[in-house]
Amino acid sequence: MSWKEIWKKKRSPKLSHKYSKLLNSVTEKHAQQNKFLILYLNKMKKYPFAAVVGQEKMKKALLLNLINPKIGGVLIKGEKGTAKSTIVRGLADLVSGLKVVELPLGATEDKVVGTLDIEHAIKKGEKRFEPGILSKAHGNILYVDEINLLDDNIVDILLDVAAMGVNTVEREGISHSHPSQFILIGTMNPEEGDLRPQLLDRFGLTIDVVGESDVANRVEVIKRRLAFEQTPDEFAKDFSAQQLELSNTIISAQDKLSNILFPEYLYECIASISCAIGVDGHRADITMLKTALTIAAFYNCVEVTEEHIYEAAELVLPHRLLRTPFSGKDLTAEEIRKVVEKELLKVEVNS
Amino acid sequence: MVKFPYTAIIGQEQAKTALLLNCIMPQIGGVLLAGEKGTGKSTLVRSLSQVCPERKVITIPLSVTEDMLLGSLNVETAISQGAIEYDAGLLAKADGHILYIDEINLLSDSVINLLLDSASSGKCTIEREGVSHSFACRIILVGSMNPEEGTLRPQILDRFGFYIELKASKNKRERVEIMKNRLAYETDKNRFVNMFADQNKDIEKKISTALSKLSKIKITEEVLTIVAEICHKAFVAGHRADLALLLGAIANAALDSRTLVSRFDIATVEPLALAHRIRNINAPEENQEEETEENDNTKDDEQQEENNEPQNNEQPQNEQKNDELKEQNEEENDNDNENQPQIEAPVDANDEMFDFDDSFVLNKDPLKPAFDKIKCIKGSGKRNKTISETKRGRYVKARIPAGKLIDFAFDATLRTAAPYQLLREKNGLALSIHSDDIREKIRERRIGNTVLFLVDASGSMGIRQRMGEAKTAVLEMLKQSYIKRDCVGLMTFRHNETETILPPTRSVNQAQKLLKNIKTGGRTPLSNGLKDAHLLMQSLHRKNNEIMPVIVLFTDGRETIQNTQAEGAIHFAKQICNDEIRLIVIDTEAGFIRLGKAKSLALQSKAEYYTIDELKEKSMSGIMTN
Repeated sequence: MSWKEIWKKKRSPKLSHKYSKLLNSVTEKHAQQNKFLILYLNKMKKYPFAAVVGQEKMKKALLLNLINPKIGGVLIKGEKGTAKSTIVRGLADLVSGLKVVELPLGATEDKVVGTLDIEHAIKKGEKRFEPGILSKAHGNILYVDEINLLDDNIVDILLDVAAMGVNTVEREGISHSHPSQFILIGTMNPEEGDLRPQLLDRFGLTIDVVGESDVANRVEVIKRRLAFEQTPDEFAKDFSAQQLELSNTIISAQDKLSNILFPEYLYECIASISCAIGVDGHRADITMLKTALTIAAFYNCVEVTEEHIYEAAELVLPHRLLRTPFSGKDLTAEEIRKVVEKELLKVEVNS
Repeated sequence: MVKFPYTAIIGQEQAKTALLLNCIMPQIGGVLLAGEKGTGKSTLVRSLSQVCPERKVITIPLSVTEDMLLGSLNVETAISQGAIEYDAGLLAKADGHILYIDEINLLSDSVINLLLDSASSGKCTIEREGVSHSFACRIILVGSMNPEEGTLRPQILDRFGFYIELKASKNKRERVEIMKNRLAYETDKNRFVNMFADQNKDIEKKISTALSKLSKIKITEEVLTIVAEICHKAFVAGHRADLALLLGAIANAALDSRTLVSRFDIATVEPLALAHRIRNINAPEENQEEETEENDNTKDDEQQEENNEPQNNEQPQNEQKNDELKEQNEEENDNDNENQPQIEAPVDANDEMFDFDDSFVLNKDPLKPAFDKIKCIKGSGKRNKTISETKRGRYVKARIPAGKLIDFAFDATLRTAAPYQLLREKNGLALSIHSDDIREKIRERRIGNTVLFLVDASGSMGIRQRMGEAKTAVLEMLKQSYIKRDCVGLMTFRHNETETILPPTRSVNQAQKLLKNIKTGGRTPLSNGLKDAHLLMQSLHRKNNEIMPVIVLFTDGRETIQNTQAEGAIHFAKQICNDEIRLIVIDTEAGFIRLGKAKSLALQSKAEYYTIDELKEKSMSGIMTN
């Protein structure tokens, strides 16, 4: 089943609708008595994606994944308080039917893969499968905050499922398998430890985020946040036009994706970049290719250009260097740019 | 789901041959594919059933429990009819098929053993839960793994018939083809699969002809001699290699539809059957030279691949040398021969700084668990998979609880109680469970050490390159920690204070960077250092009582600042040991006159003791050059 079909199937009332309904009923009845409850429920509302100031690179990487989920997810590296979670949660409103399913760090294995439905077994004496987080994540975003702190055995499972797109459960008397394709989005603070290489490789793209350094932008961040917390609904309304525009961009890019042309010489260029940088395996090549195509679709182009390749390389390559225990540094943007320019030049000379 | 076509996979010829030969001759004993990520390991295995339609590929998830593999009591019939019936498990269903485990190195030990036993004997017997049953289980076991995530024990490796290391192609043309194929597949799966249908059919035919030819294949005496000679020369352990080589050669002849096994067949199969079994007895020195040039694991693999030519018996794979060691020791030893990195430290003129000492080679891993001590540390074990005492970890099987019930295993309890349901008084409930039906979960979990390096950075450490040596020793141990995924921290003491340079984290890179910049000078507040290290470990232990705390102390033991408390360093060292924290004292004292203070500290507190020279491989030459 393609991702679009999955999304179409899911156009059921969304979670956020439930909250707003609840909020409305509360507002009418208890508005005076319980301001705190309202504040709390307001907090459950989602900050609109389009209203986030800055963090353009992160936004772009995430949008590319919405356009083409086969890119394989995003790993966001950076410190706390850089709007990582806000942006990721906001993604759900851009594509109808899309949810953000969170995998909490403390999740136990049976809750992740699914397990025997104990209640059903006790009441009826029958075995039944109780779906876990991986089942909910199918066709959605699986979001793991602080993914580098996840328990090893949960990581093992994620590796398995992310590779196959199928969750096979063989435990506690249950034999079950269901599709589980998701956009894996993880965040981590590199100072708290590294991610296992195999899991790192499963992420299509990585980006580094830092807080906004421009003072004017910082002020804008605070202003918007305050406005949102006071009157979330009105705030959302202000940005609804922009949100709609983004949604439309995604849809039109999705339609275009299969018709984007990819010039022959750029295939070779991608291969040379990978060889020059020295990456593990072939996933880098394939992801670079897909990302470049998606970028072209995003910019409404007919054909992939060299600039698209460069942009793709910058997102795909940093975490894919052949890594030894202590050489461990990610490539910087400039280093990647240099390699890409060099290889592009070579290919041009040859042709 | 439309699978990627087998014949559309470019390159990886060795792996393809190995898999096909196993399909023709399952007795070879399975295939293990090792390789970096993204080399098409699992794509290849999953596509296998396209060219060999009578064999399905059954995938085993990592979270599998033992009862699912073996099969278990049918709970529903037991409850409703009181009858004992057996539900076939995965192994029974896999009879005659291919059993595939991705990331096999992450699978729990008991499950791996079970799989290998069944695969080699071709049948499986269960005696549990009132069920006594035996079934055929002729499976082709295929595993894939990424060695970066840890290796398999040599005796497990040996039980796979063939072993192949996969590498990504370095050829640009091939890389372009791979990209194009993948893209074409993802754009229109059905069209792409149709494009390759004919080629797949050809291979399918080849296999079925091979199968029909199999009984007619002749083996000459000469071929047998060659096989025996090759295996003898390669110093392989046991006779599994001979058998795998011979069976592989027969299958290869059948695949080429010849009736006589030739030298060519043996040459084709030799690298597959011997790569993981060759032990190198007479060339340890050569190995070291090679390894010094290539001082990281990934490059070692690369090299091994290059060395895979038939006549070459210089396989620098560390596991193979350790075959005869004790079982438990083996996996710990894998990386013992890790070598000296060539790191360029920045030249920094302030204070005294010592670079890593280049002549230093670690020959022992002091962090290897001391086996006599294991019993007293709760939830501990080797730095790998251990049985977890809390509710965290992977559920592998169930047992009758001893003492207080912590982790209730509902499925196992249900199975135990099921056959009695018809007879028991239920008081209107659907189930009646007695206390002796209750089972609890056994969970496995990988636990790493939490290692705190406590480094004496006082002035006396500056003499005779001691700091340089100590830093390198710490670095070497850090490398071990990286592979074993330990938590590491770094603490130094000098002048009048201790400094926590890095609280224990998983980020070994960070530790290495900070280690470089440790400066020496000043006096030695040894007891303060021990005290603070103890406090830090205690607080960590309070947060997580499953950690295995280890303090590695680098010092010459000469305390120059007396603590107000009378006993000083020895007192604190004793406290640390009493608290079930492993204390390892690395004595950095060198030179002609030795006071042996560190040694007496270790002896009195019953800590483990090594001199820094003991950690060096070439200890004699090391002293001479000093």
